[in-house]
Amino acid sequence: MPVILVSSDNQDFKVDKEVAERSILIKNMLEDVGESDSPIPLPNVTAAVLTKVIEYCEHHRNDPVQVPEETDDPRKRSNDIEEWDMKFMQVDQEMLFEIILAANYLDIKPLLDVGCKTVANIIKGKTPEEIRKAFNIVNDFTPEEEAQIKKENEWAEDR
Amino acid sequence: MADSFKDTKGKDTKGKDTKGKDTKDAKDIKKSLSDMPAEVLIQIGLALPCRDFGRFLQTNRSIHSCLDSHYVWHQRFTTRFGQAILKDKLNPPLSNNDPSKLTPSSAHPSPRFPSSSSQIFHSSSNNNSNNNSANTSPTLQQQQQFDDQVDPVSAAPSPLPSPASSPRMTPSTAPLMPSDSSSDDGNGGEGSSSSRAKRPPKVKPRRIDLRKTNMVSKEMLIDMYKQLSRMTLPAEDMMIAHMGNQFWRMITSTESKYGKLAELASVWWMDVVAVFVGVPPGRYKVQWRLKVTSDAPVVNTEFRAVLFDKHEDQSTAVEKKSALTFRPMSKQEFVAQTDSPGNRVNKKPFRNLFKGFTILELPGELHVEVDYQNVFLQIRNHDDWKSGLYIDYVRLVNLDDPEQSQESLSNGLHGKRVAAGNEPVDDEGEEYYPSSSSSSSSGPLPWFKQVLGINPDAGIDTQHRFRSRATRQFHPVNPSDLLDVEKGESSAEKSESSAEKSQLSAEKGESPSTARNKSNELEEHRKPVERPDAWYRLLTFLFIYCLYICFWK
Repeated sequence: MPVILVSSDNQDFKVDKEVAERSILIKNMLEDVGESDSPIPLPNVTAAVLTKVIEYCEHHRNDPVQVPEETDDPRKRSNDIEEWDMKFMQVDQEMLFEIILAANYLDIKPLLDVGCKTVANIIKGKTPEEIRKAFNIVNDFTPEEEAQIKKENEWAEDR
Repeated sequence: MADSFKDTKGKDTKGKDTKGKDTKDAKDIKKSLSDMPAEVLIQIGLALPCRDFGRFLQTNRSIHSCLDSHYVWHQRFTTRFGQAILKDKLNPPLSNNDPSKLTPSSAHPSPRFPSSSSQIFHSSSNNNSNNNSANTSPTLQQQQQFDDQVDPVSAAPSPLPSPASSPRMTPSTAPLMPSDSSSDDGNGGEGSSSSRAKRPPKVKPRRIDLRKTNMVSKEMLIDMYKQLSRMTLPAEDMMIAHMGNQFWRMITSTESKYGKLAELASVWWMDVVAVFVGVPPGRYKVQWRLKVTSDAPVVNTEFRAVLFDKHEDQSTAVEKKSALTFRPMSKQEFVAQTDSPGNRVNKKPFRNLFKGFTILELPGELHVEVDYQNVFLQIRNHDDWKSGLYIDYVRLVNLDDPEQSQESLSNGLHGKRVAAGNEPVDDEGEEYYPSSSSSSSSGPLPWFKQVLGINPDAGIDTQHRFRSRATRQFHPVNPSDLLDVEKGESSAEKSESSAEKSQLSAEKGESPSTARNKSNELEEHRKPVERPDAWYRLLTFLFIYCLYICFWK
């Protein structure tokens, strides 16, 4: 049964219910709406981003749904990303952030995990200054604060 | 009205302009990672390894305040080390809350295997960290004012509770009780500061409740994390059988950056255990920093590594299959795995193969896959007496980390072997003949050389090696010379004796001229410092060298 999703720029997307319900937010909305065919508005997600999200959900439509109690599985906590997901996430930084925000809004945990791991992999191996440069982060510490925080976290350098 | 319409129209256009600006600004704002929602930043922070997490905290104020929280540290802790370690801290107290029962006895240490539910940490959490003690103790004291459970006695900064020679990893005797939030006694955290014999018995243990999310519990979590996440374990934190008595002892030493060494006096049952908890996935090399003065403690000794899952019982380590094992059956085999040059292993005394401490790197790699695991390292030899071993530390070198992998001997083998602090013995191919540069001005050897006129650096001249005895010249060794009598006196004595001899010969009827000739001959014979026979020199020098080793070393 198809479900109609409407992006913030008023573009309609017809997807299967099974695919749409990968998003817990949409799943809850559909449960509230019942058998009605009314489109579901998503004001925080643009068409371009929604396209990518739907693509992800389509590819992972048969994956088992993650239950919170099963997060002790080490494979789920691994930082390894599947090859398809890695290629999927090879987008510019702006789109990457948009996908992460959309996954957070729509409550699609696997997509959020993949997005966060992708960002973490970019951060790995960089100094604080390089991280700021890569992600356009403003250094709002005073020099004294910066020195103190650096000293407090010195122990982590060889752990 | 028209004006107002115009105004509104203007406002509308301004509104549209501002809206455009807003979207543009919003886009600009969203581009920065620091403006992501907190839950997203937390997810990113939890996905980062320890070092990168520390660096990420330093980037921005909002990121720091979001990630340097009790919740995040608790999540990181349990992800890496498991929840079981915190069990003692999160459960309500025992009915018989006797600290002495919870502290292990230091009188008779024996090999103990840490259970995942029972690691007892000294509760002066901030004082565990050398770095932060100065900065956080005032903050701690302020926080403690809001904590009902603070014992005013323990509010004073307590001395650094470095682990004793037998680390405090004993099975907990506490029965598991369900946590009761209503009875908030705050005794979920047990921290005994009275486990060491040196501490005054009157100090009450500080009680920190990890169920409370405050500065104090967060600092304690961080300190516990620091303690458990170490990739280098000093000898003090190892579990050594028979430590503390006449077999093994901890000594202070400047040769170790930790200030202490485990010294093996003599033991039959040699069993040293070191446990790394929460080792991240990757490939590792195991390195022991040791000083060996005898081959007995290392030859036929097993160096092994065993991997455990977080929830696995480590008491089965003895029987469990080793992930890495190394048992050198000969000196060469042992030396080959160290950073010693390893030249002429059988021709030198074992202690001379290593100038001081050496790094022993176990062959093979330790693979920690997928999830954090515990690494159990052991040195065991239960046969025969052995002595002459000093242990400084053991560490895991991460081969996947470009910064750390250079520490591995396998990555810089030859360079490391030469530059590892073991001076290459420059004896120019002559066994047991130290060069003149190495023994130039110290010790009794130069004195012997001067007195006896021996110059071991001079090679044996092959042309003269087989000279006839008649042509060889020898230096008559006068015992008075060895007693450091002045040569002037001895030569005067000799001249007197020669004069006496000439007189005697004169009395016997010999002509003074012949007597004079004889005396001249004698004087010629006494012309100083003519080189002795080579074999005589060799034997004499061997004897002197043995004396040198006995008395000087």
